Amino acid sequence: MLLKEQWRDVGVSGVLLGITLMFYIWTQDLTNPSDIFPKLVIALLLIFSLALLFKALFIKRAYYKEREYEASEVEDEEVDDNTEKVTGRKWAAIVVLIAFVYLIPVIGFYSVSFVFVTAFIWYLEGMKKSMMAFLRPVITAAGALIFIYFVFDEFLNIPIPDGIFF
Amino acid sequence: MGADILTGLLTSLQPGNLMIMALAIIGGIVIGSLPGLSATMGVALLVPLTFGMDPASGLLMLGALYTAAMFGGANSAILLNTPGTPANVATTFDGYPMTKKGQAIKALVTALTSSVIGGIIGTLFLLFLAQMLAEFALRFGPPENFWLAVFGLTIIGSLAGNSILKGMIGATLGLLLALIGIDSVSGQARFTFGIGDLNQGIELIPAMIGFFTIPQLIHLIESNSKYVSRIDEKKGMYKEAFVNVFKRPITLIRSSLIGTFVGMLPGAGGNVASFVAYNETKRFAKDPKEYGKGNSYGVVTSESANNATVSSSLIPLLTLGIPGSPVAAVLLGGLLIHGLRPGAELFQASGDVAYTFIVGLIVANILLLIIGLIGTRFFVRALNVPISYLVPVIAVLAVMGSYAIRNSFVDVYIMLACGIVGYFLIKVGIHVAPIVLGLILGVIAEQGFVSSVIETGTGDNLFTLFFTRPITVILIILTVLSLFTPLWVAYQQRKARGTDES
Repeated sequence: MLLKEQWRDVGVSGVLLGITLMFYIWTQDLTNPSDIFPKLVIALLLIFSLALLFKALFIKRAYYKEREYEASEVEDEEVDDNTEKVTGRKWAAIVVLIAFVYLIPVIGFYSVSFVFVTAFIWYLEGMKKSMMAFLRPVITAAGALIFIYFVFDEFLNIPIPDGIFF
Repeated sequence: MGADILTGLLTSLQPGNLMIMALAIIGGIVIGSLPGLSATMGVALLVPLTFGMDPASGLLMLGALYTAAMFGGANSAILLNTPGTPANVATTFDGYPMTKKGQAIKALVTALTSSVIGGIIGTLFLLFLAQMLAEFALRFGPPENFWLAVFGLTIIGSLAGNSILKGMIGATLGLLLALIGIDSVSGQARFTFGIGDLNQGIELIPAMIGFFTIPQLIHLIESNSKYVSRIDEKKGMYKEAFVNVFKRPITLIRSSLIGTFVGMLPGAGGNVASFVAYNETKRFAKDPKEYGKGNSYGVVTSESANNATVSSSLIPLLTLGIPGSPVAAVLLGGLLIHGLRPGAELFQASGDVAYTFIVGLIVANILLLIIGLIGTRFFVRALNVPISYLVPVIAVLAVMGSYAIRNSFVDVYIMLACGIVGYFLIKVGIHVAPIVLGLILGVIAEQGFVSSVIETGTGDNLFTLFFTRPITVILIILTVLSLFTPLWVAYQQRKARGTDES
């Protein structure tokens, strides 16, 4: 019976073999000499992916050693993956980040960032309904964007991405 | 030369110049601390400002900003696990664990002191051995660069965590990312899928911001802590941290020398130097297992090496007129607008200005120490900001920093993709540092390898080119030593344990 970590690595090697195959197919369009190094790197990835698969399927004791190593690692891991709340916050963060980046060219950097920072702080602070719970995120968002305006826009002259608004 | 050095020292110590350098240092620290803003960008912005100044003052300002920006990246690397520049990636390995242990102040002072010492050692080489070193640097052709990159890749063992195999997979993924874009040798587009912005390849800085910042932000959200870490402040800790840096002088000097050596090679820079120095320090350490867990000498080695590259990257520029790094290229512009032509002529025709610039780098380092020590008291306050406030603000800065590199939103998408993929890779045990290492060294390795293969068509065969040139032989020996020393040490330790038990 395989350990949880072994199943995980079987999956990882499967994904890596898929990536290797995709890149190999794409490499077929390349001509010499631009295909030399890609083929070398793809060969390396293939070897390492197969080695990981072999390890995952046949070398169980390596995983016991890894468990020992992880147990002796830094003691600061406060992450609690099992709680629903934490998992929810994690996925919310990923979705919000993707939405944030997607909306910037559509709506504009300053307006999206202002809403993003304000709403995200409010969410991470536990969505309290007091006046200060709204005011503090608003002030933080405004402060951060004023800083960005002066550093990037005024001093560095970087054209800030705008959309429908600004 | 002696008179020129003295003149240079006196000029750089003039109150007006000290004030200009102090301002540039403050600006440099801020620029370095913000991911996405690089020393190159800062120096490029200041070049037009120097136009109205006298040449010495202008160059002192540019040199001071370059020095401070290289150090500045250590602050965010240590406090938030988010390196401000690629040169500070290796600083995160021990700097952030120190912060998690409540030793943020010690880590910051250690980084500052080591940066200053590294910077001064690099400048001394620039001052006294520049011509000789520049000639040596020119002997680095494609095969030497290839082996240098391979030697750099042997650091994976130090970065891989509990699985060297996964470290190698990470580095190979980094090499694969480095392949994207137009092949610099043949001009053919590779793996760009018709996206024009990908023709220039995956920019290192957005990828680095993604791989380090986004997983860290998600990790902070996952943690149930209110703050990143506590700050253990006690009386005399600044002095203690300062003195501690000098307790292992060999580590400090070796790392600075590695930085000086790597920095003068065109194409390599602070990022390669700090990785190589970190690997060497860990290899020679009596307690290698303590590295990556908050060992202050991990910070010493990375910071002294990357700041030593500041001056040494100017060696080919000042002595031969060849800019070996992006900042050096911008500084070349700064020299030219003041009518100074780099090369041997610079030291003869404008020796006073040239030596003021070089000696000024030492003065800038001393100023950096003073300003940095004062600033540390403020930087560390970032840890008093709750995670719920830090995370959204850092996310916005990460987006803006990635965008600022080329004013391209594709870089922001790359940053986000690298970040989310990086987060899941960490979850399955593939660390992001080897990926970034692969991305950094992939370009150097490929250019070296393919250019050498092409060179074989004009004369030498592949074996002669790769295995018989003196510098390649040295690099091959170092690579083999780097690969097998840990195995040999582990074997010796096992043997010693076996003897003890019996």
